[in-house]
Amino acid sequence: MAAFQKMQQGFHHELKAVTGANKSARGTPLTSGTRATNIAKSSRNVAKLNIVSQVQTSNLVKFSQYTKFLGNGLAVIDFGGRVGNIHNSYKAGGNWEREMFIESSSFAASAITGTAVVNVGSAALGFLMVATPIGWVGLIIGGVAVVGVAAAASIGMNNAITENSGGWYDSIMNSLGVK
Amino acid sequence: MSLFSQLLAFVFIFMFLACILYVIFGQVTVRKLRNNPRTKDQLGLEYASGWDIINVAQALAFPRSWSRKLEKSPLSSMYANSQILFENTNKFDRFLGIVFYWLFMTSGLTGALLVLLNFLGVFD
Repeated sequence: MAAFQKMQQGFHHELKAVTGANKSARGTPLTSGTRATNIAKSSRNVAKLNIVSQVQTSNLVKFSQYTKFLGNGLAVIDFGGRVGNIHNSYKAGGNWEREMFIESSSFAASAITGTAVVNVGSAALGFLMVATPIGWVGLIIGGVAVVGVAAAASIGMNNAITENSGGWYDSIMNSLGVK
Repeated sequence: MSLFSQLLAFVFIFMFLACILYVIFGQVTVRKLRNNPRTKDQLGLEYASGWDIINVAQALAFPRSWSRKLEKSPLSSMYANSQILFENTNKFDRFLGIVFYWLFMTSGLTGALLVLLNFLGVFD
């Protein structure tokens, strides 16, 4: 029970520290429930949700650390699988140089395709925010759509290169007269 | 080789060049900006490490009016700040940024378009 009270106190202090920075006379959603419902009721769009202070902006940017972590993690998993394929081909006595060409070219191409689509998508969302009154909901739907299209494009590109680059490797080797 | 395979190989050459330019631009320009205390925090949102390279290239390659529009939007912290970047880069940086960005985007998007057309059965 004492531990619970300690946690409650700790939470109280933290809440105070967070809301203390906000000088709004009407309070914040954290201090008053009515304020929260009022905010939710008055139809706001993102253009009105101004980011008030430098602190909040930097908090928002700090949040990107998580997306960074996720992005890197996915790349590591993907790369791990590809190295595994090359190693399998080596162990089986196959043409592992050819396998390496296929895996590295499809990795590069799918990464570029996905990145390009995400970049265009995020710029498009930015322009949309300026030109139209799309709100948070539109932003989230747009973001999900961008991620979906990027994933599809990058998977499609991966398949296309995996299927075709073996042939490229053979014709490059032929024209170099290696085989 | 099928027509699709040939077209894809052609696009892939440009993608490969974009990869090389990505590393060069990152080492030459963005590394400098990352170490500069004035620009360090102005490089935009990084979805994966190294994404700031693309943000910087976009800020340098976009027409100024587009960048200004983006930076006025509430999402401005996602993009690199072109005003400050222009003040802290030289002509060569900008040239490199423009070549890299447009090569990267055209090859990436043409590739995506090719794959889409192939998926829709245009090359069958």
